[in-house]
Amino acid sequence: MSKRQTLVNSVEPNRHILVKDDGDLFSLVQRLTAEQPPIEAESPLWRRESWVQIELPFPFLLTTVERLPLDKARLLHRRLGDRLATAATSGL
Amino acid sequence: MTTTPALIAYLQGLIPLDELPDTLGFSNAMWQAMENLWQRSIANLDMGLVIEWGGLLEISQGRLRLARPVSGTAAGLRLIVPSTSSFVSSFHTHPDSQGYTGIGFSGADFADMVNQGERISLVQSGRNLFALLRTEDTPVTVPVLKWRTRMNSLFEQAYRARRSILAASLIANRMISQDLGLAFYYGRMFRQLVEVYRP
Repeated sequence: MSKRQTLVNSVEPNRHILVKDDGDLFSLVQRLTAEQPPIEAESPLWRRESWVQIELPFPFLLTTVERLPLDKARLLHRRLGDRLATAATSGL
Repeated sequence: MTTTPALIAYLQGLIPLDELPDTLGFSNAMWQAMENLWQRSIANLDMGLVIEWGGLLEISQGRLRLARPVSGTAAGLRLIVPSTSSFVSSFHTHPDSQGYTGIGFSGADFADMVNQGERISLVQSGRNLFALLRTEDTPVTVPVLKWRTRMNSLFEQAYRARRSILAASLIANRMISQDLGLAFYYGRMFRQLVEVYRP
């Protein structure tokens, strides 16, 4: 089953219910990106940015890092330190 | 940081469109409220699952605030406006299950905003915030299917011309704003929105 369900009708007779129906646009994005990978890094509106493996924009990761509590930040710092040390010793 | 006073005055019908500044800002509480709903939208992105979140925008004691948050599906949501409310405006998120961001208003967002009488509509997709404001040039009703088709056509055309998702969204959203007499602003989260189009 598709992860997206399109709302059947975006015309809502009850004025006191606001309908937001974006299914067709997300389907289009899915189709287009499958046919032709996006070029976000080449856009003049974006700085050249690398993407992490789970397909999050790098600025999103940086924002997440900024919000980490101190204990988690220390843990991340240690893990990154270990990774950089490994990379240095292996010549990468 | 506070919400631009002229924006609130415009939404209350106290000043004309030409007195609206070309940059708009929101209060820290507004930015944080929107960001919180975005984070909820992508909480399960690592499993490829996303959910749209949204809320009503209300003006209370001269302040714009995001209230009554609700979640929908990955493709949309429904916001219930209290019958006592005379100010109809909304915020909602556009998370993509692949992790892509910069996805602006859909064609149905445009048509539904017009038909539902919204004064301002906000969409967040990643670090990007898109804003539409109703003006005197905005029609009262429009056919939803027509604007779905036009939006998707413009987006696809721009994307196939090697534009990024964000650039394709901005191009398509700007053109439809012009068609429908809507003011269109765009900016990065926690910064000021900049005018893209004003009738």
